[in-house]
Parts: sequence; structure tokens; C-alpha cells
Amino acid sequence: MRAFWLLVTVPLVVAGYLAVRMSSERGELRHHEVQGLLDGRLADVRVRASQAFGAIERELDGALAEAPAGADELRALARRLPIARQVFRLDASGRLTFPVGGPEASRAELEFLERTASIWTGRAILAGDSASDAPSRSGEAQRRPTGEPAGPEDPQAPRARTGEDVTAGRVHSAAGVGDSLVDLAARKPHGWLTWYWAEGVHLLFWRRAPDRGVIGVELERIGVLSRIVGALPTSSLDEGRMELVDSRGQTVHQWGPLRGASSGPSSGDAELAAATLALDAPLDAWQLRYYISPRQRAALADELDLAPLFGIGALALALIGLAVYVYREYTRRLRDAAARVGFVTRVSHELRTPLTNIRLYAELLEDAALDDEDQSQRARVIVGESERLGRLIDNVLAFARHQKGALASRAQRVDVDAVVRDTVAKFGPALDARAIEVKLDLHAPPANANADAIDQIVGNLMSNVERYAANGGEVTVATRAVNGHVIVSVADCGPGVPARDRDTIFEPFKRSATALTDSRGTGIGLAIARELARASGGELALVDSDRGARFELTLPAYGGDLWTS
Amino acid sequence: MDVLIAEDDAAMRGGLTEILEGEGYAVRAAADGAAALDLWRSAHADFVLLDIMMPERSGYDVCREIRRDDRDVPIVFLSAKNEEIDKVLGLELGADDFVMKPFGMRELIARVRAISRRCFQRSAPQPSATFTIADITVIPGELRAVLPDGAVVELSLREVSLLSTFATHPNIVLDRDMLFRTCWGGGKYPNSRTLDQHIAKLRKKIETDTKAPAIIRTVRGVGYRYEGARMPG
Repeated sequence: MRAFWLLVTVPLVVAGYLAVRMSSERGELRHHEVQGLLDGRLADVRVRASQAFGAIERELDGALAEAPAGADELRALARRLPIARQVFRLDASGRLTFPVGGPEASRAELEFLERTASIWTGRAILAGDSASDAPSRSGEAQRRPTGEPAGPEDPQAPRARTGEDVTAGRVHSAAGVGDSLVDLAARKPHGWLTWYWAEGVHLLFWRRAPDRGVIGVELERIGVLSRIVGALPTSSLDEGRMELVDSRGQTVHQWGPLRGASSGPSSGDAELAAATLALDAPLDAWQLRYYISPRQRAALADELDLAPLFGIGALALALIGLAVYVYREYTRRLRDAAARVGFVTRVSHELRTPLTNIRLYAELLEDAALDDEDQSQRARVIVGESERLGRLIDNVLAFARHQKGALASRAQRVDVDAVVRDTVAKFGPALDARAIEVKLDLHAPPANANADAIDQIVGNLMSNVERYAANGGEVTVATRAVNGHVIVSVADCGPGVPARDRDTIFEPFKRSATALTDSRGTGIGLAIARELARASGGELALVDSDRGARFELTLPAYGGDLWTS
Repeated sequence: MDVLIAEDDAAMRGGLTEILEGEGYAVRAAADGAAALDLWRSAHADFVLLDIMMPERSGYDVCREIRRDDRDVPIVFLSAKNEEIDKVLGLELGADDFVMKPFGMRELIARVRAISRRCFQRSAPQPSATFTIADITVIPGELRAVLPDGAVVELSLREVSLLSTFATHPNIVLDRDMLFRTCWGGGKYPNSRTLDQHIAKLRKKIETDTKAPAIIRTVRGVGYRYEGARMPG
């Protein structure tokens, strides 16, 4: 039964382990898939933003193509361009020719000069000189699990960065930005400059002027924002929420289900962005963020193919069902077997009383026969047969007890020689009838065993002798002590046990080939004898002999005394 | 010596009664536990044979009840249940011995004689004194006789009684009625063949040649005579 439960439990545990492991692996895989989905959605949105920004670029490129040099013309140009906050102009030498300070300068122009002073005075670093900028420019999606807003550590620090036209790692010297712009204009027709000021990133678009100078526009932040936002999807998302976050980490636009008071990076503490993606340069300090709740994420994951898990679950259920079926079948058979054993036991017990009567009355007849030898002989046959029947019943009952696993034996001090003598004496008449001489050679100390068990074992061995040994031979029953054990040997002069049967004669319902012509016996005698011997802490074995069969019963000596022969 | 038998199987009861009466015991038999207790209460016995599985009251119950009255009376269980636990329970209840079915007459007689010797040892009933007959020493308390050659033979109560009767009536023909009255008693007179069987069995034990018996001789048509020592002259 233990093996059965092992057979059921092990596959269940393995299936469970596989299910958990597969679930975990699929969960991981699904996590990556969902992540890829979110990143993909962000990338789609970024393409729209980039297209909007490209449109601005083309629009400005066209508008600045004439590149007027006069202050009034430049002011008029700025007015025509709603997205332009300020127009600026450099001459071929890189000198800022507009706007310039002085009494004619407007307030806006003066503010522009103040905002951009670091550029024109050469304090700003134009090129992307920070390693952290590189991935932003590479356009790869960045997840920011910590939710820290992207952007400069100190938005107030004046720092200028070039746009996409400045290759990564190129560091312009602090001296002569204007020169640098002119130098850039010599190589490229237009480009972008970004730099940080109070409210965040500022964008400058520049274009090579026909006079080899540079004309440029500072873009209105709100205008750029409105153009980009205008390009973003208007439909609400099925799952989660997207945000456009500026260089200071401020949410400038969001769509999808709104969250309350979602206006700052602090709100991100409660909700982590599942995916973030920087916009393309030059707005790479801005980010798109995708917020999605665990439940929504799980809902996405639920679209998974759960077939493998269902498969394992079905396998486990089938296994459990099979186990229940087998267990019920097993217990039913066990009950049937117990019922059969119970029946055999009851019948065997019931047989004992009539058997006793047969034997008692046969003995009374034998007693009364007096000098009538024929009558006596007939009565003795009845007595002998009833004794045989008694041994048969004892064996059947012992076998039934063995089947129930209840063949325990209560060991106590036993005078082995006395028990053996009594048992062998019972076979006297039967052996006499076959002219088999019994030789007793008894020298055993007391054993720690059960007298009934010894009687039954020796009785079964003698019964075999009676059945299989040759007429006119002899049987030697000897006892001796060897190293703390008592050995009872029964050796006959019969045909012995064929070599091919030596391994199986102790198995139930196996009889030696020499017994084929002899239908007597149940085939459990030797099996029961060995089980009884083992239940007594001993052993019964067929040992080598020059002639006939020789069985040796080994029993523990009483008190564990070390007797030697 | 009185024996109480409780056995529900009629054939077994009859067989046990015949065997024990043949041995020389006065037998009272009951077919169930309750009847056995009634018999016990009407008159105690010298020992008791109890079957275990019986109607009304089990052998265990009867044993328990008898033990309340008499802590020493020998009680032997006759059982078809040979499980270890039954033996242990029976012995714990105060049984003296277990005889497992199927058992033979000789095994039963051996057990009963052993019990009888124990009864004599505790003087219940008082055994007769040792006596001799034709150089044979008879020890009634041990149910044994020592032959002139030193061999020891087992005797039944009846055989001791017969030998005692012959020993006290040497050279006198004892007719069947006299032997029945003396050795059977209780108004139970078996047929004459029973007496012949007992004498035959006794001769097997003590006579040198059973074909020409020298100690107990047959007086045809009358009875038997013990050839005691002739008075000189």
C-alpha cells in the first residue's frame, strides 16, 4: 500500500512542481511580452511626436530660408511664426547681430539675451557630454522602475546641449559658441540646440543663412507642446494611462483614465511607471510614461494561452481520479480477501469440533477393540487421518493469519527436545506402517520460541517425510546448539529435492516434482513452516545432504546463551 | 473425583463423559454456560472442563464466576480458538490449562491425570495411601505404579480403584456386581464388556504375559480373582 501511495504521490508532486515551474516561466515570459507590448505602444506614440516635431522643423526650415538680416524684418518674421518666441541672427563671423541689447531692444529681446547669455558668452557646453544622455539619444525605451523623473539634477543650471546634429561625445569648448554654430552651419544646413533654463528645456532651431551666417529661432515651449500633444492619440487607452513628462519630471499631458492630482513626480511614488520611453532628440529630455495597474497588467497576462497549465491540471485530476479508483478497487479486494480469510478461519475453527469428535470416538473404538487387531487397525487409520486433517487445518489457519500479517509468535522458554519428541511420536504409527525407522538424536538446550510453532514446523517436516520418503528407510531427527542458536534437523532417505525446485519449495502452492504423482498436501506446509520459523526469530532452510532431503530449523536459544555443539 | 464438563456439542460432551467416566471420574455435564454454573452452584466439582464458545454464557464467563467461589479448583479450557490472545485471556482469567481442538483421547487423559495429581497434592480429595499388589507398588496420589523391574506405569483413577480392591481381597473371587459397586459406584453400572475392557487394559500395564495373566485371573462366568501371596503351609 505504501508503494501505491508513492506511485500516486510522486507523479502528483512532479506534476505540481512542473506546473509551478511552468507557471513561473510562463509568468516571466508573459511579463516580458506585456512589457514588450507596453514598450511597443509607447514607441508608436513617440513616432507621432517625432512626426509632429519633424513638421515643426520643416516649417521653420522653410520660414527661415530667406534669412533676413535686418532687425525689423527679423521681428516681423518672429511675429509670423506663432511657434517662435524669439528670432536670432549670427553673421558669418559668428557674432550675434540680432537681437542686441540697447535702448531699441524690446523687453522680450532683452529677456532672450538674458536666458541665452550662457550660450553667447561661451559658458555653456553645447555638445552632449554626459554618458547618461547617450541612451536617450539612441532612442531606446527605458523602464524606470524607481519612478525617478528623467531630466537634469538641477534644472536651474545653465547647460546647453546640441541636438541631433552634434555627435555624441563631442565637447565644444566653452569659448565661442557662436563660432561653433557657424562651424556647424558650415557642415550642416540646419540643426537644433537645447539648453536648460528656469522652466526647463528650451529649444533653438538654427539654419545656415545665405551670407554664411546663422539664423535661428527660440521655440515657444507651449507652442511646441501643443503641437506635440495635438499629434498624440486622442482616444482613451483600454488599459492604463500614458503621460508626457517634461525635462523637469512634470506631467505636461496625460491620457487614459485620469488619476487625481497627478501633476508631479511625487504622485509617481504610489504608482510606478510600467514603461518609459524618451522622445527623440532634441526633445530627448522628455519622456513618455506608461502607467498600468497590476490588475490591468494581470488582465493583459490573462490573455495568455493557459493550455499547458490546464493540461497539467487535467493530468493531476486524472491521476487523482485513477488513484481514487485504484484505491477503492484495492480496498474492495482487501475487504473481499479479508472476508475470504475470515470465512476460511471460521470454517477451519468450525471443523475443529467435529474433527475432535471423529478422533475421540475413533480412539474409543480402538480402545474397545481390545484383541481385535483388525478393528484396532481401522480405528488407528481414522485417528491418523484425523490428525492429518488437524495439521491441514493448522496450516490453513496459519496461512490465513500470515495473509493478515498476524503471524506473530509469543516466544518463551521452550524445551525443544520435549516438543520434538512429542511431535515425532505422533507420527509413529504412520511411519511404522511404511517401515520408516525414526532415529532421535536430541541434545538441544531450551530455545526462546513458541512450542506450538515448533510443533507445527516439525509436524510439517515429518508429514513430508511420511509422504515422500522411501519405504523402509530411516528419518533422523536431531537437535543441537550452535553459537547461541538451537538447530533442529530432519533428514530422510527419500529422493530428496530436485535442484530446480530447491528455490521454490518454500513458496506457497509449490510442491516438488516428486510429488506430482501424489495429490496429498496443500502446498503450503513448507511455506507456513518457514513463516512460522521466521515469526519465531528463526529460519528454516533446506541444506545440502548426501542423500534424501535435510531441513534445518534454526531458533534462538533461550537467554541468548552461547551454546556450542 | 467429581468433574464438571461444559460443552455445547452433544457428541463431544458424550465422548468426554465416556472417556472421563472410563478413567474413573464422576462426571456432570452441561450443554451451555448457564447450566454449567447451575451445576457448579448445586455442588462444587474437583475440577472443571470448559468449552469457550457456548450459548448463554461463554466459558470465560463461567470461569470468572467459578473463580469467585473457589480460587483453587483446576479449570481447563477446551477451545477451538487457538489464537494466542485467547490463551492469554483464558490464563489471565485463572484457567490452569488449555486443550486445543482437535485433541486426542490420550492427550486429554494425560492432561486430566496431571490435573488429578495436582488435586491430590492439595488434598482435594484425600488420596489413598500407597499399597502393594504382587510386588507392584501403587501410588494413588500420583496415579502411578512401580513395577517389580522398576518401570513406572501411568494409571487411571479406575485402575487404582480396581487394584486397591483386588489388593484388599486377595485370593477371593470378586464378581462383577461387587466390582461395579466398589469401583464404579453411584448406581452407574456399565455393561460387563466395559469391565472386561478395563481389566484387559490393566493387564497390559502390569502383567508380564497378558495371554496368561498371573496377577488378575479370570474366573469364567463369575468375575476376577487376585492371586495374592499364598500363606506358607
